[in-house]
Amino acid sequence: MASRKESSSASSTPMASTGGTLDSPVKQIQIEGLVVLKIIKHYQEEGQGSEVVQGVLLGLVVDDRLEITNCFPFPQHTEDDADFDEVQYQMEMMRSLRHVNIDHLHVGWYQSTYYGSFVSRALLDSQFSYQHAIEESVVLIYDPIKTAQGSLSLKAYRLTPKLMEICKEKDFTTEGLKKASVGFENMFEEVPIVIKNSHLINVLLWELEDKSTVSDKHELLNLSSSNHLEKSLQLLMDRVDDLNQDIVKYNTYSRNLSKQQQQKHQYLQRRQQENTQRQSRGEPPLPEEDISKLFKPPQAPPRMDTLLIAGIINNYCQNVKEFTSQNLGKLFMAEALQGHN
Amino acid sequence: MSRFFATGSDSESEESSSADEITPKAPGTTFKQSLLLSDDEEDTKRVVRSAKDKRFEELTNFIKTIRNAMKIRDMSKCLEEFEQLCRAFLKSKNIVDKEGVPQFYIRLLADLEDYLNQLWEDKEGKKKMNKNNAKALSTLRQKIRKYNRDFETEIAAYKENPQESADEEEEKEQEDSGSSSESDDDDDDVGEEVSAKSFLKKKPEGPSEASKFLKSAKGSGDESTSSDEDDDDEDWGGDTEESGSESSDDEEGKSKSLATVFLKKVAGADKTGIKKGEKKKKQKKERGGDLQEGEGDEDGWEKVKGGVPLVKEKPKMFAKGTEINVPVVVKKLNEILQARGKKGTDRAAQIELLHALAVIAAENNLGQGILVKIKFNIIASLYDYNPNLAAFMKADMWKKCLDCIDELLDILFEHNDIFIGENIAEDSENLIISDQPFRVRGCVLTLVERMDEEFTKIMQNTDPHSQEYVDNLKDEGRVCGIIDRLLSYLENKGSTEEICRVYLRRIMHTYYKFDYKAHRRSLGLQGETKVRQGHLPSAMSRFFATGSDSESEESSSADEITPKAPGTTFKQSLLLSDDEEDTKRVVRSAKDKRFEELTNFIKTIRNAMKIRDMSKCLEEFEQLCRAFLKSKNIVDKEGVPQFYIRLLADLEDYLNQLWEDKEGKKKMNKNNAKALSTLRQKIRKYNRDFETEIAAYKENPQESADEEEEKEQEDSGSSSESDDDDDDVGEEVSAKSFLKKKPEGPSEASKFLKSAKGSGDESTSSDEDDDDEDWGGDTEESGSESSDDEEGKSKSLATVFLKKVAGADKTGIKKGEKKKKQKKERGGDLQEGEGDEEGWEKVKGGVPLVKEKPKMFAKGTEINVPVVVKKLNEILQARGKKGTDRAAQIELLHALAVIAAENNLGQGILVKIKFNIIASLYDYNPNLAAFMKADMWKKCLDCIDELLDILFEHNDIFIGENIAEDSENLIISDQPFRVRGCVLTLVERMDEEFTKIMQNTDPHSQEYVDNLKDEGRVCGIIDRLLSYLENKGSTEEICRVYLRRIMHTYYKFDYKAHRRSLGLQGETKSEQDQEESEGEDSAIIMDRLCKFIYAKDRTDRIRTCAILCHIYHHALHSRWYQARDLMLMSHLQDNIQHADPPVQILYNRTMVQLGICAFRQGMIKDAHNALLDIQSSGRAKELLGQGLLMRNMQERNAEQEKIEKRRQVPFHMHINLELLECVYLVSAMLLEIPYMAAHEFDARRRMISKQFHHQLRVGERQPLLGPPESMREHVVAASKAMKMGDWRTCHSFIINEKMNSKVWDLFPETQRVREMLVRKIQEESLRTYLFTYSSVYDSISMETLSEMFELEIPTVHSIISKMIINEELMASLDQPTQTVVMHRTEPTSLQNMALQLAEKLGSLVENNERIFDLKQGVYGGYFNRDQKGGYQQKQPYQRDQKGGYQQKQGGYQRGGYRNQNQSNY
Repeated sequence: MASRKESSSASSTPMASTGGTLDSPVKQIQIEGLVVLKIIKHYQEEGQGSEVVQGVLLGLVVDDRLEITNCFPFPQHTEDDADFDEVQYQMEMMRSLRHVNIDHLHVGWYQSTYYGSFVSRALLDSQFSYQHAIEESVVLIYDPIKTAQGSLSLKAYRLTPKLMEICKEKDFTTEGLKKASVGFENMFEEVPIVIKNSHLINVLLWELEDKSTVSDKHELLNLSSSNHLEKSLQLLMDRVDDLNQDIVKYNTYSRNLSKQQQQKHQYLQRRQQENTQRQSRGEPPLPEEDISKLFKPPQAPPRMDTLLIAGIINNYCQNVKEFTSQNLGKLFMAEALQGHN
Repeated sequence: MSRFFATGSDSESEESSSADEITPKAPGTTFKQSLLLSDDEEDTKRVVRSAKDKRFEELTNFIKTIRNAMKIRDMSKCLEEFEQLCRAFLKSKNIVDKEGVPQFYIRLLADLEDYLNQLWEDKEGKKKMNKNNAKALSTLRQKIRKYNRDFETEIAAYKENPQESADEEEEKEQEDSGSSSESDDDDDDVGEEVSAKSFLKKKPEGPSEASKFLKSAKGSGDESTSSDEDDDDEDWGGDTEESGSESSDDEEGKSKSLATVFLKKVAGADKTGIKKGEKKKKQKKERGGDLQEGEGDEDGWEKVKGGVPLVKEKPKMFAKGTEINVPVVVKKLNEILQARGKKGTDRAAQIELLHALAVIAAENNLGQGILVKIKFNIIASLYDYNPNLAAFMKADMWKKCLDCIDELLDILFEHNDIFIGENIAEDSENLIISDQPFRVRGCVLTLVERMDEEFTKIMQNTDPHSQEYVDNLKDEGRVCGIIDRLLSYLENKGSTEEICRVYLRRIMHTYYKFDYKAHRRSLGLQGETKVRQGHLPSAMSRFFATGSDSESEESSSADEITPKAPGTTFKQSLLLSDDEEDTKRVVRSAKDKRFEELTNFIKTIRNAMKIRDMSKCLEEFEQLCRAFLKSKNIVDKEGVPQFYIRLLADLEDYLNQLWEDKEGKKKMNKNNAKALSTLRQKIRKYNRDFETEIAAYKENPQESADEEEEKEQEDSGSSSESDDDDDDVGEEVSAKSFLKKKPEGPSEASKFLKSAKGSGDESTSSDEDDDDEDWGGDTEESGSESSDDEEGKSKSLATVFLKKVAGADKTGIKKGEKKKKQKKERGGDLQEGEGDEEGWEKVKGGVPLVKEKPKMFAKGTEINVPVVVKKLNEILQARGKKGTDRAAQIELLHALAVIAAENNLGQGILVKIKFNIIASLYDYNPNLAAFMKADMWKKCLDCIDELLDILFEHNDIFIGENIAEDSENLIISDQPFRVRGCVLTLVERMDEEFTKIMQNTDPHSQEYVDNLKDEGRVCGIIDRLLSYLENKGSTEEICRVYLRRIMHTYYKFDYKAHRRSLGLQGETKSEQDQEESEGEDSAIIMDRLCKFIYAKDRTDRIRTCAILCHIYHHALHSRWYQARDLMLMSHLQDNIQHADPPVQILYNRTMVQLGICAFRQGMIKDAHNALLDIQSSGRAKELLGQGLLMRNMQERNAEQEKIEKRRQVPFHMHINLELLECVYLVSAMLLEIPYMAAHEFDARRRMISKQFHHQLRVGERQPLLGPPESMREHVVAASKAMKMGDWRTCHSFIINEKMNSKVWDLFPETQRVREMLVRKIQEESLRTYLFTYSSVYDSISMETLSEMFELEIPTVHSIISKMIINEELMASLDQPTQTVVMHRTEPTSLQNMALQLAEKLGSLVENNERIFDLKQGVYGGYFNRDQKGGYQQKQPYQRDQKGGYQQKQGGYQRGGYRNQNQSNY
């Protein structure tokens, strides 16, 4: 039923407008239905509201296709068991799975998201470390809210090689980003997903579809959109605020910088003048001094956060655009239907 | 200094001082030596020899000495001896005339000249000589050359035949008879014979030669003149009284002008002339009289001459049997004085000699002239005693000096016929008793001036912090006394110059002393009983008014000094003295009294002996001696009392014993040791007078007691007898023992003098005696002090002495007419003197009592204003000193007040004492932070009350802090009292003390309530003061007292007025209530007082305080508009931060009260604004001065904390902080909740009250919301209810039992406030409801709303109308149906969001542009600018679009959007 459609929709809507060359070792991701269900189940059992659930993806790289065959969740650790060792848990978990002859290769991790606000520093860092260690690692983002609206939202992302470079060098300055020509657009590359089910399951699904009632099918036609939009706008606004702050920060920085440049310039000029005077008097010129010591350049604000915020905003916008376009269609359809009736 | 102004030509003093200076130079005098020499020779030469032998022996002696000196090359000695030799030779002129110049004399002259020439040639040796010697050498050489010329022939003969000359002696003597005239002639011959050159050389000798020639030329007819001249020559070697030292110095000093020397010679001649007496005078009259006369003269001289060797051999005094007459004595005197200023002269011995001479002169009744002369010399010698100008006199010397001067003055006063003057030439002196008045050269004034200087020197050289200083200072009285006496003497006799000088001295002793008496008098506080004393003019006035009452001066000066006495421990003495009040009121005979006095002293001495207190012993002994002298007449009658003898014997034994005990002596302290030695000397001296008695006593100590009566018989007139005995003894005993006896001179002399004075002089001496008596006794007030002397030791002797003088004055006053008469006829008859003595006796009877009971005033002391003031000052002296028992001081002052009241001394003094009592009460606590004890406080209040009572009763008392002490008038008189002091200050201080007490009392104790009850009294006092000052005070004072009044009024709610204004005062009210409500409304009072201050005050602070209090008062009484207007008019908000903290606290209080007032009036917004500042800081407690916040120590150290603590407002004036906060929160709630509802979707929502939001957040954070407990929780809960428009719940949260008791019941009009509050809640709830839920309504009936919020329809209508007008609510009213029709124009939340987003994006874009601009600034290129231009061109479009959007919005959404920018509240 829905799952089949979703799978198709999921695969048919590659969200990332990746202009990237996709020269990564993974060109496609094939997810077992089991993994999808497990992730959904995990969220439904443990996730609540804006809470995020995470887990480990297991699978195997076949050619340029990453096959994710299984996963296991990270337990929701609270403040009480701070000494919980995630690594230990993972290793044991994988060992156990190997014992029962399940794919035990670590190929990434998954995370739920709230209105697509997944692009964060934490995600970037952990994905970087994954990708650094296991080249083919992906992060699977599951959006439960969109899923609840009737369209399964599951996306796989990888860091672009450029970003990997920057992250490796930890160079988040304006210059660094400029040199790597990394924008919010090409921070992540989205890898197309294919959900693969066994034939038996496909058969079962077909059968179930026949038995389903019409009401079940009209979920998609829900016209009430304001809630989702409002939330999105709210989040968008928050991010815009953040961005605004960053810009102000950058503004002051650049102003300070220019001021300093001016001072430096003046200083140099004065020095030069003096030197020429001294030369005319036959005195030795003043020794060159380290100007950088005299004028310590102000600390440049790290641009990575700004980049990430921009990324989030981008996501939001995409979400809103997608949502509104769908809704518009629905509204027109509804109008037409009304007019017809 | 006076020297420089004194224009007198007192050569005496000058000389003596110059002598002082030169004295140290005098080289190697052998006077003393010669004295010793003669001592040795004493026994050998007791053979009667011819005059020639004597003379020649004298000469040979000198020659021997000169030869010895020559051997050791002691030129100065040589010179000296040579001079003496010359003098001696001249003296033996008649013999030489008869016998010719002795060969040995010529030999010496020749040898000496040779020797000197030899020395003179020996340049090397001269160089080696010391300066003195070299000088002496040259002098001597010149002298001898000069001198030898007279003996040229003899010397030449001698030189020709040195061996022969000795044999030819006899012949030569024959030849040389009348040598002087001959030699004179020879001189002339020589003068003609010698070449001009030699004559020239001779020239310097001219004067003497010429004079000599003149003399001889005059011939025998002019004998007297020539003899005069001869005398001159003698004087050259010999000496006049004072100039002796100088003339001998002449040769050495070389600085002396010949003229002076010559003059002196003349003076000396005068003296000798005088010495020669009548005969001489006669001679002078008949100048050029016959030779017979001259011969007689010579004979007279012979007689004297006869004495001279005796003097030499037994140089002490005169030979036995010598007829002692004036010239003899004068000669002796001159002899003694010769040694003056010479090195090696025992100055002490010299003084003793002079004393002895005085005694002799007195004994032989040589007349006062010679006595005066001797006295002069004694005093001069005393001054000379210290060779160093810097050194100061020893105490005993000083005493002697004072005594001497006193005696001298006595004599001068007694004998009007003695003329003294420094301009009297020596030869015009008349020392012999005759019809003509005595004429004595000398200047008392100079002596006294010198004495005064010596006194200053002594004071300068004494450690000012020692007992010694005080003791010395006590002498100032005597010095003053002497100066006074001299003054009165000179006023009669002196020249104006002299008077000026002595006046200056007097002034110098007066000017720096504060005249308390006069001051007191001037303040008019002296009672009428004291008029007599009070009218005495002050010392200074004397110089303007020439009255002769020296008494008042003395007494006043005594007063002046008294307060100086440092560190009195009079309290102790006060306690001591309580008991012995009633003893000794029996009338006794003079004898009994005297003897009792003596026995008292003896007792004290014995006690002192027991505790080995030598200084006390000495003191008492002196007193005893004096007392004994005083009781002379009785002793004369009755004989020396046995107990006196016993004491003397015992004391001597005891002292000797002590003296032997070296160990014990070492252990003694310095003072005691000194006293011991002094006393020992004294007693030895003294006991000699009583030798027989003491011996008898020692032989038979037991018996002596029995024999007392007989002895008394025997000893009648003992003193004169003993004096006679002394004389006999003096003649009988060996010279050596006589020498020893010499030191007794002074006392004997004085005794003798006294007896010599006889009955005629009785009154004067008795006067002196009076003074002396006072020494031991004491005056009225000073009783306490004098008793302190012994204990405190810090009392100055001077004070005591002065006091004595003062006492004398007082007694003098008491003596009244008699005394006055006596004064008029100074030197009056004995009868008067006796009467005087009697008068004194009476007083004496009282004096010991005073000593014993110094508590307040001695019993029987006449208590008058000055006395009380004096006492008061004494008490106050201790004020502020460490160790002073403040409580006792207060008690003393109280006692003084009682005494003053009892004696009806008038209100002036009472007021003054009260002032001081109150001040002392305030002083009681040394610490500023400490507060008064309850009893002290009560006392203080009582005192102030009493003070005010007095002031109210007596309108004629002027009080002011600007009244100087000396312009006070404390005495009852026609003039109003004038008292220094300020009641206002006292009351202010009292008020502060009250505040302090309240601050320091636990506000939750009963004590606090008790203390608070005193506020009524405080207010009462302030009210009384207010009414007092309104009549008398200056506007400034009135302002101050008004402020005090205001301060006690402003914070109190005037219930009476409140009730009246409400018209609730029923007739049924009890009378008491009626009465209570009679008083003026506090509002009216406040108005009156404040307005006065606004108008009159010139200090900003008082006005500020008054305004604030006024506002507070208005606010307290719900006169909101007045309060607000006043606050706005005062502009205090602008500059209050510059005020001092207390004023700032007051301002804060006022603001808070204003806010609360606004709240009660329903001016929620005003209330909120007023309270915002205080509440937002979170330090309301501190800002209102109602407690300290706990803060870390860095911010506030202990000192600061103390200061802050002092600023705290007493608890009864506190503003309830919970009420304050509640009012604030409720106001905030009423404002904030509708606002929040209205601007739910505003992006940038302003908070009206952070505090309130904080409370809300705290409330939200609660995991479980139970029923509210605290006031804050109630408000939060109410706010939540209101948010939902649930006014009922809100109401129940705000107004309930708990809140009522906690907050609302604290308001004066509780019910009204609650009603107001309910209404406000309803209204605001309605608004909130409409804001929150208007979106869900299409239309809503006003009736329904009115029902829902229980408001009348018109109210609902007005509220909604207002909302619509303010564009808060997008609706319209449908009048017919009474419904509100919603326009539904509010944007959906999504739309709101979008708007917000748009706004945010706008700002984002702006920021981006800024970055872009920056970049362009740096890299501004053509291209970029172009680009920018393009971008900017795009802008208008955007803006247009935006504008259009806004416009579009405006159509239906005007309010909502605009409100965002509008500051609603």
